[in-house]
Amino acid sequence: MTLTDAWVKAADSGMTGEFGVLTNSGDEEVTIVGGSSPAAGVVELHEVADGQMKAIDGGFVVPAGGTLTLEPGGYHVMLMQLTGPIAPGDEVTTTLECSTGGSFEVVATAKEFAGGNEEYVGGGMGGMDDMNGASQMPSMDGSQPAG
Amino acid sequence: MTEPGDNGSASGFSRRRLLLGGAAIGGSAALVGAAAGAAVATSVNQRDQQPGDSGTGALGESTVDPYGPHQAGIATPAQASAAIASFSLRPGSSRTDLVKLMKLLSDDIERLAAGEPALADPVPELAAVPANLTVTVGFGPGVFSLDGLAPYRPEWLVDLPVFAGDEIDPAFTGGDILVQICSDDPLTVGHTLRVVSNDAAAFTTTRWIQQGFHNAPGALPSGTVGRNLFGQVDGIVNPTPGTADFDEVVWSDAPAWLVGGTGMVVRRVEFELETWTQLDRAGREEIIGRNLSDGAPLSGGTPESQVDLDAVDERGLSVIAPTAHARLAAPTNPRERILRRPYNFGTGVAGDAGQIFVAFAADPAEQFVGIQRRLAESDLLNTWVTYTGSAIAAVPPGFSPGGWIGETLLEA
Repeated sequence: MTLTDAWVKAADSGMTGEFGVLTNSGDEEVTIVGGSSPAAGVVELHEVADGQMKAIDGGFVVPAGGTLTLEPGGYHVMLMQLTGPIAPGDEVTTTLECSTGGSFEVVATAKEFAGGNEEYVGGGMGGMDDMNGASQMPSMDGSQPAG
Repeated sequence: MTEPGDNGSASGFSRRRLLLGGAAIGGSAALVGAAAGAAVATSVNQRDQQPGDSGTGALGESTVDPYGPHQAGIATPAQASAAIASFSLRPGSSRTDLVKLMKLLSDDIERLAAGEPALADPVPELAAVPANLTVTVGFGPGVFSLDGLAPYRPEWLVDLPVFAGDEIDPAFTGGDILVQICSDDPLTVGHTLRVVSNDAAAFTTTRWIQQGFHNAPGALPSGTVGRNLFGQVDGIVNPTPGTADFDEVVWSDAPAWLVGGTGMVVRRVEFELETWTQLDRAGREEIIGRNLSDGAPLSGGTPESQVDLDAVDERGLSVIAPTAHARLAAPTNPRERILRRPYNFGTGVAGDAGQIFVAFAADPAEQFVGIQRRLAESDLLNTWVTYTGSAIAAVPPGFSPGGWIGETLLEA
């Protein structure tokens, strides 16, 4: 398992998201069930459904020989209770755990990513998602925990 | 920028469609008639094939390899559209900050040059049309005041002198990081500038941005040297990429970290188009020392011919006037040669017109400053041009997959 094109949204405090492309080069389906990072007190696996961000049931299922894209507005790794600011250009290490019992390490580059975070925090983003295209809708805000 | 062909399609129908339909071009009655008769689903903004355009999108998909011993965008044939951005490092910046910035920019360049979105690309869809995108990054003198870098500053890397007649505006001058973005698609230049600016924002403030343009790709036969807004064929005298001569003129061989890199000079030159146009044709040609029709020297030959500075007419007078631009810009010693890669700028009206003169040279102090000093002191063209911006940078060598621009300096 690998996470390629890995990046983390830069954030001063609170929580932030990690994105990239999960690739399963094996011939068995793999589910990512959790993770950990020195940069975060808690690491969760999230999805955005109906404009609401929430922890995903079960985990990220990556088919044998297939990929799963983690992106703003969709599946993402959530780094919570950040242990310090994550500034653009920083490298953030995360360990992701597989259902098979193994784990793998990911080094993600922190990037400035501007979006309509305030609107998300304001709640009720389903309509905006429809209007602007869900894939471009940021799903979280690093500086203001969305609760 | 709009090209004439685009205006043709802005009526809602391509020229080709109109021609095939037998309708006259330009008459509004004909256009209305064509619209009523054709009733096809072609909106004003649907890009249809233009005469002379392959219509395949192949140009948009065309890429320039960002890797190699030299950065792209120097020996690369000048693309149609450009933006040059200058950034100032934030006070208190460290060498580590610059390393982070250069890694981010190098990653952006690798992806965007291949037509792939940058990481965290704000508009990934706009990355799909590289159209020969190149991004070239240089370090201004200020970089070498970062911790431990002073000994690595090339001797020539100091602010250019203020030359006679310069009216330098700080709003177009200087900078710690210079980024030259070139593509055959102006939309791609804009998107790339946005990505670069996003990543630079944490480390820098934007000092200035200047945009430039040439003829649209395919508008001129291959190998044609373009014209500036005065109508002069501009940039004839240049070394040829791939030759030993080019390598000697352009690529630096010292200090060690800069081997394979070069020096970059940017000069913003405002053109007085109206008063220039009032001159008679012979006067305009004499001021440059070249004819307007094809740029050939007044001393004879083809545009590529050497300017014969010693030529005299039947009265014994110099054919190339003592104050002619071509005479003053000609090298006075074999080292005094540069690679010219200028762009036009401005709307062309109300005083907003000119040239972003960009030149590359292994050692600008030795190769460029003397030329500019002669031009500043004697060039009759100065009546119609004013230098209002100035910047200089050391452009690090190229990079390889897994590497990054500036590695040779910052890991030194």
